[in-house]
Amino acid sequence: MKIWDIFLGIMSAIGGNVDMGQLVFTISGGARFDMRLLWVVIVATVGIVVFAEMSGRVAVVVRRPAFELMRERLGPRMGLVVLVASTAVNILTCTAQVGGIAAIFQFLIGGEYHAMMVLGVALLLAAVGFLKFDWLDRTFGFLGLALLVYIAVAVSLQPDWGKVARGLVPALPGPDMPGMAMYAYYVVGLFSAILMPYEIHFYSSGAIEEKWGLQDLPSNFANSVMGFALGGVLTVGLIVCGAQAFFGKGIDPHLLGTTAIPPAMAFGMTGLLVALLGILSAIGGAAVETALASAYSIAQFLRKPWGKDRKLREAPLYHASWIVMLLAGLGIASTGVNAVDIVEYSVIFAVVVLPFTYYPILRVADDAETMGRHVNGPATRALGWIYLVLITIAALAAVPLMAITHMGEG
Amino acid sequence: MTRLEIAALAFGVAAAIGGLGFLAHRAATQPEPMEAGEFARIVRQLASDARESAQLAALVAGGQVNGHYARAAHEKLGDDVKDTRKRLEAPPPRGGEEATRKAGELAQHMKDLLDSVPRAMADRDAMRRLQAEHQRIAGDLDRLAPR
Repeated sequence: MKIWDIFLGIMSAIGGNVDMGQLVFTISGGARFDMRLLWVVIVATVGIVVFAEMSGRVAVVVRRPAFELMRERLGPRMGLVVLVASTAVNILTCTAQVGGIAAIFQFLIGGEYHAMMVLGVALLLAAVGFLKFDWLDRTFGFLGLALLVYIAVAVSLQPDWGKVARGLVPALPGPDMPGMAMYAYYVVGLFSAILMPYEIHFYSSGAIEEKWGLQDLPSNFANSVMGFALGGVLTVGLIVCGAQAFFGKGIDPHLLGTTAIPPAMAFGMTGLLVALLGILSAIGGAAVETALASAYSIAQFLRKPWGKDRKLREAPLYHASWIVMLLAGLGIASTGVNAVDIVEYSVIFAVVVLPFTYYPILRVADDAETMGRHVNGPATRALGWIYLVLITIAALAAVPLMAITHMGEG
Repeated sequence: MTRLEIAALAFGVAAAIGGLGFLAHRAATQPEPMEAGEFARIVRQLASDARESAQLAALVAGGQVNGHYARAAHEKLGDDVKDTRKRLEAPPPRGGEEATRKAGELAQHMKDLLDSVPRAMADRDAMRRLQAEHQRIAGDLDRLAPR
Protein backbone atom coordinates (compact mmCIF):
# COMPACT_ATOMS: atom_id res chain seq x y z
CA MET A 1 0.00 0.00 0.00
CA LYS A 2 1.51 3.30 -1.06
CA ILE A 3 0.66 6.40 0.95
CA TRP A 4 0.94 8.45 -2.26
CA ASP A 5 -1.67 6.22 -3.98
CA ILE A 6 -4.07 6.64 -1.07
CA PHE A 7 -3.55 10.39 -1.13
CA LEU A 8 -4.18 10.50 -4.87
CA GLY A 9 -7.27 8.32 -4.54
CA ILE A 10 -8.73 10.48 -1.79
CA MET A 11 -8.04 13.70 -3.67
CA SER A 12 -9.60 12.23 -6.81
CA ALA A 13 -12.67 11.12 -4.87
CA ILE A 14 -13.24 14.59 -3.40
CA GLY A 15 -12.94 16.35 -6.72
CA GLY A 16 -14.58 13.59 -8.71
CA ASN A 17 -17.73 12.85 -6.74
CA VAL A 18 -19.63 16.06 -7.38
CA ASP A 19 -21.54 16.28 -10.62
CA MET A 20 -24.17 18.57 -12.07
CA GLY A 21 -27.06 16.83 -10.32
CA GLN A 22 -25.38 17.29 -6.96
CA LEU A 23 -24.61 20.95 -7.67
CA VAL A 24 -28.15 21.75 -8.74
CA PHE A 25 -29.92 19.79 -5.98
CA THR A 26 -27.64 21.00 -3.18
CA ILE A 27 -27.66 24.72 -4.02
CA SER A 28 -31.38 24.63 -4.76
CA GLY A 29 -32.02 22.57 -1.60
CA GLY A 30 -30.22 25.18 0.51
CA ALA A 31 -32.17 27.98 -1.19
CA ARG A 32 -35.52 26.35 -0.38
CA PHE A 33 -34.93 24.57 2.93
CA ASP A 34 -32.07 26.52 4.47
CA MET A 35 -29.97 24.00 6.49
CA ARG A 36 -32.75 21.43 6.92
CA LEU A 37 -31.36 19.01 4.29
CA LEU A 38 -27.88 18.71 5.79
CA TRP A 39 -28.76 15.42 7.50
CA VAL A 40 -29.50 13.88 4.09
CA VAL A 41 -25.89 14.53 3.08
CA ILE A 42 -24.69 12.57 6.11
CA VAL A 43 -27.07 9.64 5.47
CA ALA A 44 -26.29 9.51 1.74
CA THR A 45 -22.53 9.89 2.25
CA VAL A 46 -22.45 6.93 4.66
CA GLY A 47 -24.45 5.04 2.01
CA ILE A 48 -22.00 5.76 -0.80
CA VAL A 49 -19.06 4.91 1.46
CA VAL A 50 -20.63 1.51 2.28
CA PHE A 51 -21.53 0.85 -1.36
CA ALA A 52 -18.14 1.96 -2.77
CA GLU A 53 -16.12 0.04 -0.19
CA MET A 54 -18.14 -3.15 -0.78
CA SER A 55 -17.91 -2.80 -4.58
CA GLY A 56 -14.16 -2.22 -4.47
CA ARG A 57 -13.65 -5.17 -2.07
CA VAL A 58 -15.79 -7.50 -4.21
CA ALA A 59 -13.90 -6.43 -7.36
CA VAL A 60 -10.54 -7.07 -5.67
CA VAL A 61 -11.46 -10.42 -4.08
CA VAL A 62 -13.66 -11.98 -6.77
CA ARG A 63 -11.85 -10.31 -9.69
CA ARG A 64 -15.19 -9.99 -11.45
CA PRO A 65 -16.87 -6.73 -12.38
CA ALA A 66 -20.23 -5.43 -11.15
CA PHE A 67 -22.38 -6.11 -14.22
CA GLU A 68 -21.13 -9.67 -14.62
CA LEU A 69 -22.17 -10.31 -11.01
CA MET A 70 -25.47 -8.54 -11.58
CA ARG A 71 -26.25 -10.77 -14.57
CA GLU A 72 -25.36 -13.85 -12.53
CA ARG A 73 -27.47 -12.86 -9.49
CA LEU A 74 -30.52 -11.40 -11.28
CA GLY A 75 -30.51 -13.70 -14.33
CA PRO A 76 -29.96 -12.65 -17.95
CA ARG A 77 -33.50 -11.28 -18.58
CA MET A 78 -33.80 -9.12 -15.49
CA GLY A 79 -30.14 -8.23 -15.91
CA LEU A 80 -30.82 -6.99 -19.43
CA VAL A 81 -33.67 -4.79 -18.19
CA VAL A 82 -31.34 -3.26 -15.58
CA LEU A 83 -28.60 -2.80 -18.19
CA VAL A 84 -30.97 -0.96 -20.55
CA ALA A 85 -32.39 1.17 -17.73
CA SER A 86 -29.01 2.12 -16.31
CA THR A 87 -27.63 2.87 -19.78
CA ALA A 88 -30.65 5.16 -20.40
CA VAL A 89 -29.98 6.95 -17.10
CA ASN A 90 -26.29 7.26 -18.01
CA ILE A 91 -27.20 8.79 -21.39
CA LEU A 92 -29.40 11.34 -19.61
CA THR A 93 -26.65 12.07 -17.10
CA CYS A 94 -24.03 12.39 -19.82
CA THR A 95 -26.31 14.69 -21.85
CA ALA A 96 -26.79 16.96 -18.85
CA GLN A 97 -23.04 17.16 -18.25
CA VAL A 98 -22.38 17.96 -21.94
CA GLY A 99 -24.90 20.82 -21.77
CA GLY A 100 -23.30 21.96 -18.53
CA ILE A 101 -19.79 21.91 -19.99
CA ALA A 102 -20.94 24.09 -22.90
CA ALA A 103 -22.51 26.59 -20.48
CA ILE A 104 -19.35 26.78 -18.34
CA PHE A 105 -17.19 27.30 -21.44
CA GLN A 106 -19.48 30.19 -22.35
CA PHE A 107 -19.02 31.68 -18.87
CA LEU A 108 -15.25 31.35 -19.14
CA ILE A 109 -14.40 32.12 -22.76
CA GLY A 110 -17.63 33.21 -24.45
CA GLY A 111 -18.68 31.67 -27.75
CA GLU A 112 -21.84 30.12 -29.09
CA TYR A 113 -23.55 27.39 -27.04
CA HIS A 114 -23.56 24.64 -29.69
CA ALA A 115 -19.98 25.35 -30.71
CA MET A 116 -18.93 25.09 -27.05
CA MET A 117 -20.77 21.78 -26.80
CA VAL A 118 -18.83 20.40 -29.77
CA LEU A 119 -15.58 21.74 -28.30
CA GLY A 120 -16.35 20.15 -24.93
CA VAL A 121 -17.13 16.72 -26.38
CA ALA A 122 -14.07 16.87 -28.66
CA LEU A 123 -11.88 17.56 -25.61
CA LEU A 124 -13.53 14.73 -23.65
CA LEU A 125 -13.04 12.27 -26.55
CA ALA A 126 -9.39 13.30 -26.76
CA ALA A 127 -8.92 13.00 -22.99
CA VAL A 128 -10.46 9.51 -22.81
CA GLY A 129 -8.70 8.43 -25.99
CA PHE A 130 -5.21 9.58 -25.06
CA LEU A 131 -4.91 9.53 -21.26
CA LYS A 132 -4.18 6.33 -19.35
CA PHE A 133 -6.85 5.30 -16.87
CA ASP A 134 -5.08 6.51 -13.72
CA TRP A 135 -4.20 9.87 -15.26
CA LEU A 136 -7.71 10.36 -16.56
CA ASP A 137 -9.14 9.79 -13.10
CA ARG A 138 -6.57 11.96 -11.37
CA THR A 139 -6.63 14.85 -13.84
CA PHE A 140 -10.34 15.51 -13.47
CA GLY A 141 -10.23 14.73 -9.75
CA PHE A 142 -7.41 17.18 -9.05
CA LEU A 143 -8.83 19.98 -11.16
CA GLY A 144 -12.17 19.36 -9.45
CA LEU A 145 -10.51 20.25 -6.14
CA ALA A 146 -11.13 23.87 -7.17
CA LEU A 147 -14.67 23.19 -5.93
CA LEU A 148 -13.27 23.37 -2.40
CA VAL A 149 -13.70 27.13 -2.85
CA TYR A 150 -17.34 26.48 -1.88
CA ILE A 151 -16.23 25.47 1.62
CA ALA A 152 -14.32 28.75 1.96
CA VAL A 153 -17.38 30.59 0.60
CA ALA A 154 -19.66 28.80 3.07
CA VAL A 155 -17.45 29.97 5.97
CA SER A 156 -17.04 33.51 4.65
CA LEU A 157 -20.81 33.97 4.24
CA GLN A 158 -20.97 33.63 8.06
CA PRO A 159 -23.75 31.11 8.57
CA ASP A 160 -25.37 30.59 11.96
CA TRP A 161 -23.31 27.55 13.05
CA GLY A 162 -25.95 26.51 15.57
CA LYS A 163 -28.43 26.28 12.72
CA VAL A 164 -25.89 24.30 10.66
CA ALA A 165 -25.48 21.84 13.56
CA ARG A 166 -29.26 21.53 13.99
CA GLY A 167 -29.53 20.79 10.25
CA LEU A 168 -27.56 17.60 10.80
CA VAL A 169 -30.56 16.22 12.69
CA PRO A 170 -33.68 15.34 10.62
CA ALA A 171 -36.44 17.92 11.10
CA LEU A 172 -39.63 18.91 9.29
CA PRO A 173 -39.60 21.98 7.02
CA GLY A 174 -40.36 25.32 8.70
CA PRO A 175 -43.42 27.52 7.99
CA ASP A 176 -41.36 29.75 5.66
CA MET A 177 -40.42 26.78 3.47
CA PRO A 178 -42.23 24.76 0.79
CA GLY A 179 -44.40 21.88 2.11
CA MET A 180 -43.77 18.24 2.95
CA ALA A 181 -44.08 16.83 -0.59
CA MET A 182 -41.42 19.21 -1.87
CA TYR A 183 -39.23 18.45 1.15
CA ALA A 184 -39.54 14.70 0.46
CA TYR A 185 -38.72 15.32 -3.23
CA TYR A 186 -35.52 17.13 -2.24
CA VAL A 187 -34.61 14.44 0.30
CA VAL A 188 -34.92 11.75 -2.38
CA GLY A 189 -33.23 13.90 -5.03
CA LEU A 190 -30.25 14.76 -2.85
CA PHE A 191 -29.94 11.17 -1.62
CA SER A 192 -29.94 9.95 -5.22
CA ALA A 193 -27.58 12.67 -6.48
CA ILE A 194 -24.96 11.58 -3.92
CA LEU A 195 -25.50 7.85 -4.57
CA MET A 196 -25.46 7.97 -8.40
CA PRO A 197 -24.80 4.35 -9.49
CA TYR A 198 -22.41 5.23 -12.33
CA GLU A 199 -19.86 6.41 -9.75
CA ILE A 200 -19.80 2.95 -8.22
CA HIS A 201 -19.60 1.09 -11.54
CA PHE A 202 -16.73 3.34 -12.52
CA TYR A 203 -15.03 2.89 -9.14
CA SER A 204 -15.25 -0.93 -9.03
CA SER A 205 -14.23 -1.37 -12.66
CA GLY A 206 -11.41 1.06 -11.98
CA ALA A 207 -10.18 -1.20 -9.16
CA ILE A 208 -9.82 -4.02 -11.70
CA GLU A 209 -8.33 -1.65 -14.31
CA GLU A 210 -5.67 -0.55 -11.84
CA LYS A 211 -4.99 -4.21 -10.98
CA TRP A 212 -5.68 -3.83 -7.27
CA GLY A 213 -4.81 -6.95 -5.29
CA LEU A 214 -5.64 -8.08 -1.76
CA GLN A 215 -2.78 -5.91 -0.51
CA ASP A 216 -4.73 -2.89 -1.79
CA LEU A 217 -7.82 -3.51 0.36
CA PRO A 218 -6.68 -0.99 3.01
CA SER A 219 -6.23 1.52 0.19
CA ASN A 220 -9.77 0.74 -1.04
CA PHE A 221 -11.08 1.34 2.49
CA ALA A 222 -9.18 4.61 2.87
CA ASN A 223 -10.26 5.87 -0.57
CA SER A 224 -13.91 5.03 0.05
CA VAL A 225 -14.18 6.34 3.59
CA MET A 226 -12.01 9.44 3.43
CA GLY A 227 -12.60 10.38 -0.20
CA PHE A 228 -16.37 10.20 -0.10
CA ALA A 229 -16.55 11.58 3.44
CA LEU A 230 -14.55 14.64 2.44
CA GLY A 231 -16.74 14.86 -0.66
CA GLY A 232 -19.65 14.94 1.79
CA VAL A 233 -18.07 17.91 3.57
CA LEU A 234 -17.93 19.69 0.20
CA THR A 235 -21.62 18.90 -0.33
CA VAL A 236 -22.43 20.36 3.09
CA GLY A 237 -20.54 23.48 1.98
CA LEU A 238 -22.68 23.68 -1.17
CA ILE A 239 -25.92 23.52 0.83
CA VAL A 240 -24.69 26.21 3.22
CA CYS A 241 -23.76 28.39 0.22
CA GLY A 242 -27.22 27.89 -1.30
CA ALA A 243 -28.88 28.74 2.01
CA GLN A 244 -26.77 31.82 2.74
CA ALA A 245 -26.98 33.24 -0.77
CA PHE A 246 -30.62 32.51 -1.65
CA PHE A 247 -32.79 31.29 1.25
CA GLY A 248 -35.67 33.66 2.06
CA LYS A 249 -34.93 35.83 -0.97
CA GLY A 250 -37.50 34.21 -3.28
CA ILE A 251 -34.85 32.85 -5.63
CA ASP A 252 -35.00 29.29 -6.93
CA PRO A 253 -31.52 28.72 -8.37
CA HIS A 254 -32.40 26.37 -11.21
CA LEU A 255 -29.77 27.46 -13.73
CA LEU A 256 -26.19 26.19 -13.70
CA GLY A 257 -24.81 29.73 -13.80
CA THR A 258 -26.62 30.58 -10.57
CA THR A 259 -24.61 27.98 -8.67
CA ALA A 260 -21.54 30.16 -9.28
CA ILE A 261 -23.09 33.28 -7.75
CA PRO A 262 -22.17 32.53 -4.07
CA PRO A 263 -18.39 32.44 -4.83
CA ALA A 264 -18.76 35.73 -6.77
CA MET A 265 -20.62 37.26 -3.80
CA ALA A 266 -17.92 36.13 -1.36
CA PHE A 267 -14.67 36.52 -3.29
CA GLY A 268 -15.56 38.52 -6.41
CA MET A 269 -14.20 37.58 -9.81
CA THR A 270 -11.43 35.32 -8.43
CA GLY A 271 -13.95 33.26 -6.51
CA LEU A 272 -16.19 33.03 -9.56
CA LEU A 273 -13.39 31.87 -11.88
CA VAL A 274 -12.09 29.26 -9.41
CA ALA A 275 -15.63 27.94 -8.92
CA LEU A 276 -16.25 27.78 -12.68
CA LEU A 277 -12.99 25.88 -13.18
CA GLY A 278 -14.00 23.45 -10.43
CA ILE A 279 -17.48 22.96 -11.88
CA LEU A 280 -16.04 22.44 -15.38
CA SER A 281 -13.65 19.77 -14.10
CA ALA A 282 -16.27 18.06 -11.95
CA ILE A 283 -18.90 17.83 -14.67
CA GLY A 284 -16.27 16.98 -17.30
CA GLY A 285 -15.15 14.14 -15.03
CA ALA A 286 -18.76 13.07 -14.56
CA ALA A 287 -19.33 12.99 -18.34
CA VAL A 288 -16.27 10.77 -18.73
CA GLU A 289 -17.36 8.54 -15.84
CA THR A 290 -20.89 8.07 -17.20
CA ALA A 291 -19.57 7.25 -20.68
CA LEU A 292 -17.00 4.79 -19.34
CA ALA A 293 -19.42 3.32 -16.77
CA SER A 294 -21.82 2.49 -19.60
CA ALA A 295 -19.02 0.99 -21.69
CA TYR A 296 -17.98 -1.16 -18.71
CA SER A 297 -21.58 -2.25 -18.05
CA ILE A 298 -22.35 -3.20 -21.64
CA ALA A 299 -19.09 -5.07 -22.25
CA GLN A 300 -19.17 -6.80 -18.85
CA PHE A 301 -22.80 -7.85 -19.21
CA LEU A 302 -22.20 -9.27 -22.70
CA ARG A 303 -18.93 -10.85 -21.47
CA LYS A 304 -16.86 -9.04 -24.07
CA PRO A 305 -13.31 -7.75 -23.51
CA TRP A 306 -13.12 -4.39 -21.74
CA GLY A 307 -10.52 -2.03 -20.32
CA LYS A 308 -9.59 1.59 -20.78
CA ASP A 309 -5.96 0.75 -21.49
CA ARG A 310 -6.77 -1.99 -24.01
CA LYS A 311 -6.35 -1.18 -27.70
CA LEU A 312 -9.39 -0.55 -29.91
CA ARG A 313 -9.04 -3.86 -31.77
CA GLU A 314 -8.76 -5.77 -28.47
CA ALA A 315 -11.99 -4.35 -26.99
CA PRO A 316 -14.02 -2.90 -29.89
CA LEU A 317 -17.45 -3.01 -28.19
CA TYR A 318 -16.11 -1.33 -25.06
CA HIS A 319 -14.42 1.50 -26.96
CA ALA A 320 -17.35 1.96 -29.35
CA SER A 321 -19.72 2.20 -26.35
CA TRP A 322 -18.02 5.15 -24.61
CA ILE A 323 -17.59 6.99 -27.90
CA VAL A 324 -21.29 6.47 -28.74
CA MET A 325 -22.28 7.58 -25.22
CA LEU A 326 -20.44 10.90 -25.55
CA LEU A 327 -21.77 11.46 -29.08
CA ALA A 328 -25.31 10.58 -27.94
CA GLY A 329 -24.93 13.13 -25.13
CA LEU A 330 -23.84 15.71 -27.72
CA GLY A 331 -26.69 14.79 -30.08
CA ILE A 332 -29.41 15.04 -27.44
CA ALA A 333 -27.99 18.20 -25.87
CA SER A 334 -27.83 19.79 -29.35
CA THR A 335 -31.62 19.56 -29.67
CA GLY A 336 -31.81 22.43 -27.19
CA VAL A 337 -33.19 20.51 -24.20
CA ASN A 338 -32.56 22.22 -20.90
CA ALA A 339 -29.54 20.55 -19.27
CA VAL A 340 -30.87 21.21 -15.76
CA ASP A 341 -34.24 19.59 -16.55
CA ILE A 342 -32.39 16.58 -17.92
CA VAL A 343 -30.26 16.36 -14.81
CA GLU A 344 -33.37 16.26 -12.62
CA TYR A 345 -34.76 13.36 -14.65
CA SER A 346 -31.43 11.53 -14.51
CA VAL A 347 -31.12 11.95 -10.74
CA ILE A 348 -34.68 10.76 -10.08
CA PHE A 349 -34.52 7.79 -12.47
CA ALA A 350 -31.07 6.81 -11.17
CA VAL A 351 -32.50 6.05 -7.75
CA VAL A 352 -35.18 3.87 -9.38
CA VAL A 353 -32.46 1.69 -10.94
CA LEU A 354 -30.16 1.81 -7.91
CA PRO A 355 -31.59 -1.14 -5.88
CA PHE A 356 -31.03 -3.51 -8.82
CA THR A 357 -27.33 -2.71 -9.05
CA TYR A 358 -26.80 -2.41 -5.29
CA TYR A 359 -28.44 -5.72 -4.34
CA PRO A 360 -26.13 -8.11 -6.30
CA ILE A 361 -23.04 -6.41 -4.85
CA LEU A 362 -24.47 -6.69 -1.33
CA ARG A 363 -25.29 -10.39 -1.82
CA VAL A 364 -21.79 -11.21 -3.08
CA ALA A 365 -20.12 -9.17 -0.32
CA ASP A 366 -22.26 -11.09 2.19
CA ASP A 367 -21.41 -14.51 0.72
CA ALA A 368 -18.73 -16.13 2.90
CA GLU A 369 -18.12 -18.89 0.35
CA THR A 370 -17.19 -16.39 -2.36
CA MET A 371 -15.50 -13.73 -0.25
CA GLY A 372 -13.68 -15.96 2.27
CA ARG A 373 -12.22 -13.93 5.13
CA HIS A 374 -13.07 -10.69 3.29
CA VAL A 375 -16.82 -11.23 3.70
CA ASN A 376 -18.87 -8.36 5.18
CA GLY A 377 -18.39 -7.99 8.94
CA PRO A 378 -21.46 -7.62 11.20
CA ALA A 379 -21.42 -3.80 11.05
CA THR A 380 -21.03 -3.63 7.25
CA ARG A 381 -23.68 -6.32 6.80
CA ALA A 382 -26.16 -4.42 9.00
CA LEU A 383 -25.40 -1.12 7.25
CA GLY A 384 -25.61 -2.80 3.84
CA TRP A 385 -29.13 -4.12 4.48
CA ILE A 386 -30.31 -0.90 6.14
CA TYR A 387 -29.22 0.99 3.03
CA LEU A 388 -30.93 -1.52 0.75
CA VAL A 389 -34.18 -0.69 2.58
CA LEU A 390 -33.53 3.09 2.34
CA ILE A 391 -32.62 2.88 -1.34
CA THR A 392 -35.74 0.82 -2.08
CA ILE A 393 -37.99 3.32 -0.27
CA ALA A 394 -36.36 6.17 -2.20
CA ALA A 395 -36.77 4.23 -5.48
CA LEU A 396 -40.49 3.67 -4.84
CA ALA A 397 -41.10 7.29 -3.79
CA ALA A 398 -39.04 9.03 -6.49
CA VAL A 399 -41.38 9.09 -9.49
CA PRO A 400 -44.61 9.81 -7.53
CA LEU A 401 -42.85 12.71 -5.77
CA MET A 402 -41.62 14.02 -9.09
CA ALA A 403 -45.21 14.04 -10.38
CA ILE A 404 -46.76 15.51 -7.21
CA THR A 405 -44.26 18.38 -7.03
CA HIS A 406 -44.27 19.07 -10.80
CA MET A 407 -40.54 18.32 -10.88
CA GLY A 408 -39.85 20.46 -7.88
CA GLU A 409 -41.81 23.51 -9.06
CA GLY A 410 -44.33 23.18 -6.25
CA MET B 1 -48.26 -18.22 -35.81
CA THR B 2 -49.73 -19.50 -32.58
CA ARG B 3 -53.05 -18.22 -31.24
CA LEU B 4 -51.21 -16.45 -28.45
CA GLU B 5 -48.97 -14.61 -30.93
CA ILE B 6 -51.99 -13.62 -33.06
CA ALA B 7 -53.78 -12.35 -29.94
CA ALA B 8 -50.70 -10.38 -28.86
CA LEU B 9 -50.33 -8.87 -32.34
CA ALA B 10 -54.03 -7.93 -32.44
CA PHE B 11 -53.74 -6.36 -28.99
CA GLY B 12 -50.68 -4.40 -30.06
CA VAL B 13 -52.36 -3.07 -33.22
CA ALA B 14 -55.55 -2.18 -31.29
CA ALA B 15 -53.50 -0.40 -28.62
CA ALA B 16 -51.59 1.59 -31.27
CA ILE B 17 -54.81 2.61 -33.07
CA GLY B 18 -56.46 3.50 -29.76
CA GLY B 19 -53.44 5.58 -28.74
CA LEU B 20 -53.41 7.48 -32.04
CA GLY B 21 -57.17 8.06 -31.75
CA PHE B 22 -56.72 9.44 -28.24
CA LEU B 23 -53.96 11.78 -29.41
CA ALA B 24 -56.05 12.94 -32.39
CA HIS B 25 -58.99 13.62 -30.07
CA ARG B 26 -56.77 15.60 -27.71
CA ALA B 27 -55.40 17.64 -30.61
CA ALA B 28 -58.88 18.41 -31.98
CA THR B 29 -60.47 19.57 -28.71
CA GLN B 30 -59.95 23.02 -27.19
CA PRO B 31 -57.21 23.05 -24.54
CA GLU B 32 -58.48 23.26 -20.97
CA PRO B 33 -57.95 26.55 -19.12
CA MET B 34 -54.77 26.68 -17.07
CA GLU B 35 -55.19 25.57 -13.46
CA ALA B 36 -54.71 28.26 -10.81
CA GLY B 37 -51.85 26.22 -9.35
CA GLU B 38 -50.03 26.19 -12.69
CA PHE B 39 -50.46 29.96 -13.01
CA ALA B 40 -49.01 30.44 -9.52
CA ARG B 41 -46.04 28.22 -10.38
CA ILE B 42 -45.32 30.21 -13.56
CA VAL B 43 -45.54 33.54 -11.73
CA ARG B 44 -43.32 32.30 -8.89
CA GLN B 45 -40.77 31.16 -11.48
CA LEU B 46 -40.83 34.56 -13.19
CA ALA B 47 -40.49 36.36 -9.85
CA SER B 48 -37.51 34.13 -9.00
CA ASP B 49 -35.92 35.01 -12.35
CA ALA B 50 -36.51 38.71 -11.69
CA ARG B 51 -34.82 38.51 -8.28
CA GLU B 52 -31.95 36.52 -9.73
CA SER B 53 -31.58 39.10 -12.51
CA ALA B 54 -31.44 41.85 -9.88
CA GLN B 55 -28.76 39.96 -7.94
CA LEU B 56 -26.77 39.41 -11.12
CA ALA B 57 -27.08 43.07 -12.14
CA ALA B 58 -25.70 44.04 -8.71
CA LEU B 59 -22.72 41.72 -9.19
CA VAL B 60 -22.04 43.18 -12.65
CA ALA B 61 -22.30 46.72 -11.26
CA GLY B 62 -19.87 45.78 -8.49
CA GLY B 63 -17.34 44.33 -10.97
CA GLN B 64 -17.59 40.93 -9.27
CA VAL B 65 -18.08 38.86 -12.44
CA ASN B 66 -16.22 38.63 -15.75
CA GLY B 67 -17.76 39.87 -19.01
CA HIS B 68 -18.34 36.43 -20.56
CA TYR B 69 -20.15 35.26 -17.45
CA ALA B 70 -22.27 38.40 -17.28
CA ARG B 71 -23.31 38.11 -20.92
CA ALA B 72 -23.98 34.35 -20.93
CA ALA B 73 -25.74 34.28 -17.56
CA HIS B 74 -28.10 37.07 -18.64
CA GLU B 75 -28.71 35.31 -21.95
CA LYS B 76 -29.62 32.07 -20.15
CA LEU B 77 -31.90 33.92 -17.77
CA GLY B 78 -33.52 35.57 -20.80
CA ASP B 79 -34.07 32.15 -22.43
CA ASP B 80 -35.61 30.88 -19.21
CA VAL B 81 -37.96 33.88 -19.01
CA LYS B 82 -38.93 33.34 -22.67
CA ASP B 83 -39.68 29.62 -22.05
CA THR B 84 -41.65 30.40 -18.89
CA ARG B 85 -43.59 33.15 -20.65
CA LYS B 86 -44.61 30.67 -23.37
CA ARG B 87 -46.43 28.67 -20.70
CA LEU B 88 -48.66 31.71 -20.19
CA GLU B 89 -49.96 31.32 -23.74
CA ALA B 90 -52.28 28.51 -22.61
CA PRO B 91 -55.89 29.68 -21.96
CA PRO B 92 -55.81 31.66 -18.69
CA PRO B 93 -57.43 30.33 -15.51
CA ARG B 94 -61.11 31.26 -15.12
CA GLY B 95 -61.29 34.82 -13.74
CA GLY B 96 -57.53 35.20 -14.13
CA GLU B 97 -57.42 36.76 -17.59
CA GLU B 98 -56.19 40.16 -16.39
CA ALA B 99 -53.52 38.67 -14.09
CA THR B 100 -52.28 36.43 -16.90
CA ARG B 101 -52.06 39.37 -19.31
CA LYS B 102 -50.17 41.42 -16.71
CA ALA B 103 -47.77 38.54 -15.98
CA GLY B 104 -47.08 38.20 -19.71
CA GLU B 105 -46.29 41.91 -19.98
CA LEU B 106 -43.96 41.82 -16.99
CA ALA B 107 -42.19 38.76 -18.42
CA GLN B 108 -41.72 40.50 -21.76
CA HIS B 109 -40.39 43.63 -20.01
CA MET B 110 -37.97 41.50 -18.03
CA LYS B 111 -36.79 39.77 -21.22
CA ASP B 112 -36.20 43.15 -22.89
CA LEU B 113 -34.17 44.33 -19.89
CA LEU B 114 -32.08 41.15 -19.92
CA ASP B 115 -31.44 41.55 -23.65
CA SER B 116 -30.19 45.10 -23.02
CA VAL B 117 -27.45 43.95 -20.60
CA PRO B 118 -24.61 43.52 -23.17
CA ARG B 119 -25.02 47.22 -24.08
CA ALA B 120 -25.35 48.37 -20.48
CA MET B 121 -22.84 46.24 -18.61
CA ALA B 122 -19.94 48.68 -18.89
CA ASP B 123 -22.04 51.35 -17.17
CA ARG B 124 -22.39 50.75 -13.42
CA ASP B 125 -25.24 53.21 -13.01
CA ALA B 126 -27.19 51.58 -15.83
CA MET B 127 -26.72 48.18 -14.18
CA ARG B 128 -27.94 49.58 -10.84
CA ARG B 129 -31.03 50.95 -12.61
CA LEU B 130 -31.60 47.50 -14.14
CA GLN B 131 -31.24 45.97 -10.68
CA ALA B 132 -33.91 48.29 -9.29
CA GLU B 133 -36.23 47.63 -12.24
CA HIS B 134 -35.91 43.84 -11.82
CA GLN B 135 -36.72 44.20 -8.12
CA ARG B 136 -39.82 46.22 -9.00
CA ILE B 137 -40.91 43.52 -11.50
CA ALA B 138 -40.45 40.84 -8.83
CA GLY B 139 -42.65 42.84 -6.45
CA ASP B 140 -45.36 43.27 -9.13
CA LEU B 141 -45.27 39.52 -9.87
CA ASP B 142 -45.57 38.73 -6.16
CA ARG B 143 -48.82 40.69 -6.07
CA LEU B 144 -50.23 38.53 -8.89
CA ALA B 145 -49.54 35.27 -7.04
CA PRO B 146 -48.31 35.81 -3.48
CA ARG B 147 -45.51 33.53 -2.30
